[in-house]
Amino acid sequence: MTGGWLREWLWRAAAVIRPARTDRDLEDELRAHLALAADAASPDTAPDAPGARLRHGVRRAGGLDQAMEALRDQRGVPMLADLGKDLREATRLFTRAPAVAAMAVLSLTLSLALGLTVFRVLNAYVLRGFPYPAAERLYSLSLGVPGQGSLPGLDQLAWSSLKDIVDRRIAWDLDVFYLLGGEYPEPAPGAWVTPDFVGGLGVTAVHGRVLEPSDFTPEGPTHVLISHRLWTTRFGADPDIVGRSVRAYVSDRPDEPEVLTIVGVVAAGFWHVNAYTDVIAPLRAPAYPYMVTLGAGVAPRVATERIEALVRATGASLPQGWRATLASAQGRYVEAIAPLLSAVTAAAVLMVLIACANVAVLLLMRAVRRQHEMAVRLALGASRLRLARLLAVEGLLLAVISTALGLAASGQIAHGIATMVESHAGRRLPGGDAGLGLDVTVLSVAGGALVLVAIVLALAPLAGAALPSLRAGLVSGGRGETTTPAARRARSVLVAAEIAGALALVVGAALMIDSAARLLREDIGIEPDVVAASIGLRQRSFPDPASRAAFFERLLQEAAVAPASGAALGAVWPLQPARPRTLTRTDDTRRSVRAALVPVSAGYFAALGIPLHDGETFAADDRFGGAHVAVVSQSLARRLWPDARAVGREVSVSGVPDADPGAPAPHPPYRVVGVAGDVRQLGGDGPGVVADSDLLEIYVPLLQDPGRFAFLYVPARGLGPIATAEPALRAAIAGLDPEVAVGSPRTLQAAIDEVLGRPRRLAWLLSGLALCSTFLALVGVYGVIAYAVRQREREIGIRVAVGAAPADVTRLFLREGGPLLLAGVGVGLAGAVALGRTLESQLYDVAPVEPQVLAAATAGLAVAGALAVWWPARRAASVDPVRALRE
Amino acid sequence: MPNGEGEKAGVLQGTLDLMVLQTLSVLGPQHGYAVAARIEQVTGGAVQLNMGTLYPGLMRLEQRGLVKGTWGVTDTSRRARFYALTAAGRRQLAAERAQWDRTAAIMRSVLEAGAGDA
Repeated sequence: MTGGWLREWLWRAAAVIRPARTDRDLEDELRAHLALAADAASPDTAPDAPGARLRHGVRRAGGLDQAMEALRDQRGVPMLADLGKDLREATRLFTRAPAVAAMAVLSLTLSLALGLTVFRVLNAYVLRGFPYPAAERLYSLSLGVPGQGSLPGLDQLAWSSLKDIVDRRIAWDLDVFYLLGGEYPEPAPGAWVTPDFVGGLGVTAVHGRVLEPSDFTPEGPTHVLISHRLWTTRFGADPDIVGRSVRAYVSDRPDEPEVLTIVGVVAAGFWHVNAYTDVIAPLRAPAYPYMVTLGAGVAPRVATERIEALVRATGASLPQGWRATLASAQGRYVEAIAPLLSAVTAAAVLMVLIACANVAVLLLMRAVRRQHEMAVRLALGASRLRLARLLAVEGLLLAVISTALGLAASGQIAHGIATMVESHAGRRLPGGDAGLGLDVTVLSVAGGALVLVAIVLALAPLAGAALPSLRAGLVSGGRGETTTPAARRARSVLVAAEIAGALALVVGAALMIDSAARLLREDIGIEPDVVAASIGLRQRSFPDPASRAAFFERLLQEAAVAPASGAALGAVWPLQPARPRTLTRTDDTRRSVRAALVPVSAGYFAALGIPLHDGETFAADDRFGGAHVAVVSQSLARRLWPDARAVGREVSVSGVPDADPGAPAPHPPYRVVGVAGDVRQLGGDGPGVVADSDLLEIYVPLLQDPGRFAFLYVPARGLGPIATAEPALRAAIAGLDPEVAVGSPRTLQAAIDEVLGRPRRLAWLLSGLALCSTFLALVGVYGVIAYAVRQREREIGIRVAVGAAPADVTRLFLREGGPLLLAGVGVGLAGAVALGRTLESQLYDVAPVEPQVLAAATAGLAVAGALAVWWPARRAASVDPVRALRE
Repeated sequence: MPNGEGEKAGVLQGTLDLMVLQTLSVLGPQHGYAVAARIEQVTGGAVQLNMGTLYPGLMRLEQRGLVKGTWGVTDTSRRARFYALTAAGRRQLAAERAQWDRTAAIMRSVLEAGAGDA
């Protein structure tokens, strides 16, 4: 019998997908039965014939519909078949109430997309763990007074005595490798690493091998690994890369080129906390480890004690409060941003809950509207369980659609904002972009959200007593009071809070947009269409200022740079605040200001499009041994010589003694020969532009005392796109001296965009949040009012019947929505002021409390809120009194 | 006695299967109406099967591979679905018959012994 049972259920399961017998076939059989029964009962049959008894058969046969129902149940798996039926019926929600369905799906999808995006970021930084083997045993080690960095001189500890507790000691020394042998020295950021770096951080090779202990012996050639990126870009993915040698200068030891023998190519997925991974070379000097992998099962406390004992055993003099500190490497990495991430996550969860509450109100409202329909269904014999299931499936369908859409959207958003997240967090995403991808954690949280949303949505219509008792439903349409005053109050408070939050966010977003717009309109004072690249000279080839001046002069004059005519040099990056010096008038020592000293070549002003307001540049004296002349910025001239012409005056410049002990002896005074336009400086933690007092600059001839590093500026006009310009530029410089290190060229415009992009991205983020929360708040207002209208339909009917005008009825509900809006706006304004103060440091030229912005946002939200009240209220006015009363 | 609205599906199911299998074994391949009529006749009207009980039962037997249904034509030229016992069906009938006989014999001996004592 068991075999038969199994066989039956296999059949039935298969039938859920494709029934062996169609409904038509089943019905034919039943009709044949009835026909045969009728034949047997026909009048020509004698009353005492067996047929007489069979006559009962027609009556006994029972109803066709019930038999069909029973057959269908037997054919498939009833529960599944019912689910399908419920699903089909639930989809009618989308055709019969498209507005409700669209609003529900949209608000849930929006909030879930946002929430899951936040969670993906949280997951990447905090939950996923570093993409390393034994990442949970990886600890950051600090040997010093907490908060003061590690004590120097602890490089040579007898670590081998701790073999039982410390598995791996990881340290690295960042460096830039300038690879020679190409057309120009190509900068490749890399690191000198300890032997355990490879195993501890999971470095694997796709070609050749990783570094081995023998590579770390002091003698022999330097064996290195190169990144997958460098392998494909610089070496054209050469399959015979292993064993090739490349010469390179490193910034730390610029005099002698190193010969690096490539022994392996690191797998493309390798991730490190910094971007210095193009060349991984063996660090042959002893180093104190920044990170250690503890042995399995070793408690950090035990390890800390042993390490401290080891340090004390060296007899080193340790300052008061000295101790060894082991902190989870990943924990340390995200320490500073963890609170922010948690706060944002909490806000996102709140937003999802609010959206849930909103949609629950919507569904509740719809369920109430269907009470009559439900009552009729009950009367026709539908079981209450069946109706409850239908409502629950409706909620489940909404939850599934919204979660799926939200999850997909969150992936897009997360990858879209990855760069912004990294720049704001000041940390690379562990595991790179892939860290934001789907994993078990993200999927289970999405699943959890799905279940939560489904439960809330499924319970909402049931909790609202949407399933009427048969009699009440039929007699009154179930328009009785179905919710308690407390529940109504809670809903009102919720909606008011949503409005408040929305208003605060709208104001915050408006402030940021205003600020970003002002920043972008701001005249920085330079023409940013200029390509800039850092130039580094080697000490060995250019030992003194004279030789460097000669090289730079050639660089500017040589035909090699000619296609990029109008090139200029500057010693500091123009947009960055330089270290200030004190400038004093020689004829009036009481008058002094602090200003940035900027050594530039004479062509600098023309190249960067800085206007000359008075006098001239120092063209004739821009050479080694030229006269001490200077160009000052307009603001500087105005400050030092408020009443007179600056040109022709003299000013002495001193270093900042405590900040710059190595500054050269005081220069002889500079004679001002020209006054140039002000240049704004970007950067810092603020909104991106430093205030007015920092516009002071004094430009002095670079070639009189050039250092080993300078920035080359070439107007982008003659260069074309940076991708083609870069090789040309590098080739031109290599033509002069093949060993000059040239950093990655970029346009000043790109540099400006990067700095200004931050407030702009913050403005975008806030705008998105403001939009979402405004939408949610409006849905909430709409839901509450529409629900109230539904509840009071009979009352309205009576009012209309005794002569209330539609306007009176509408006003009734406006009066209900009014206090809600008012309370929300009131609290929201307070929140907006608080948010403005928080954003203050990020605002440029915009006050944290801008009455105009507040007024506009309040008015906008009030109008939108009033519309959300008016829309359902207007429908109340159009209630047909006869119909309302009859129902 | 399994009958009418109050009949319990579980009680009926075992006996219904046996009754249908036995009927098909006696009549040979037959349609559902003939099976119901025959059962009603031989039980003297005590068991009257409505379509909602009979046909799901036939379908269950078919799903279990005990009978096989095919469309055919009755001697009154009506189209009907004829059910025939399969080999498995015959084996099942024999087994259930034996089981039923044993149960009936046991019950009879218990009941009769009880009557004698009283």
